[in-house]
Amino acid sequence: MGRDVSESCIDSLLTEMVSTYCNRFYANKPELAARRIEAIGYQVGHQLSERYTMERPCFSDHLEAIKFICKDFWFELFKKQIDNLKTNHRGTFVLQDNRFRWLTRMSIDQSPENGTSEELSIMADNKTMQSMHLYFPCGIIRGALSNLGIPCAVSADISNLPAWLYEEIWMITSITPDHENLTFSSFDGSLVLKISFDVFFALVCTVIIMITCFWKKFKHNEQI
Amino acid sequence: MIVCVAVVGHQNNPLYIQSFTDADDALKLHHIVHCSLDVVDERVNNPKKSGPTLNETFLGLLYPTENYKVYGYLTNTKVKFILVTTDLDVRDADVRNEVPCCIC
Repeated sequence: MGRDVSESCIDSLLTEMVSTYCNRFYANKPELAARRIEAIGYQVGHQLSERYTMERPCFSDHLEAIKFICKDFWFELFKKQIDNLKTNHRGTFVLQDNRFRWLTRMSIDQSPENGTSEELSIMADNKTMQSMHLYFPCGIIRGALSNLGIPCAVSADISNLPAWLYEEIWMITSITPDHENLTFSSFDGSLVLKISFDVFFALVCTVIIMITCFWKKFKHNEQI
Repeated sequence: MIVCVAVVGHQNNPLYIQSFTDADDALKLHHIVHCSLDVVDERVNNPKKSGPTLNETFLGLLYPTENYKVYGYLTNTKVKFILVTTDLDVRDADVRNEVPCCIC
């Protein structure tokens, strides 16, 4: 797009944003801080997608839009593309980035040699801090996809690798009108798939119909 | 000569509308823009080419009225740009080149 920004400025800005929202504005309410950071990301993603889709032809379906996010959008933001894209063809996409630029310079407090309970609490703190930094990119992805007409929920997971190699996994679930937004109240790194009641009902009906058809066919074959 | 430019959001909400003629004509131009939104919806929902999916952003001439020609452009984020012009000699290609300049 012709505009370059200093990378160290972006890193500093993001670190400061997370630290301000977590430690000053919503010091005892990490869920609210997470929501605010995600909302900022939503605005940014909304506007960026407007700019970056300017000269492209329209997207024919959701997969095209997700591929745009993985390739062009990610390249504009991070100078690289998403490393791996998986889908279950039923509305869930998993994006994997093996070296997420905004976290490459983040260090983890090395656990001291004291008791295991301290180590666990330090590891839990590290996990919380890392997850706080992931809400902004989640918001960006959600904002970009919403602007392209795809309401969705985005969650991120980070696997514990050495500091020089971070593996991020983003899961995007598209929302039908009956779904509610996934809340970020319990972010423990595990991916949870929610199926709404009517989808479950439809599956059960399909299974019953299939069994009935096979039963009739079986009976017909017996008679012959 | 372009007499009216309108930017309409994805829920058909007006974002910007500006007419460049005398004041008493402005309402008529607003009506023309409003009617052209229906034509845009029609073009989007019933693409003319029945083979490959229509992915053109520039919709071309939407409909000609007695004095004006109305052109439309649809972005990927479903924001519509409507151009009303009086120039009867203007061609599609000229308008097609002008619209991306307007966006920047």
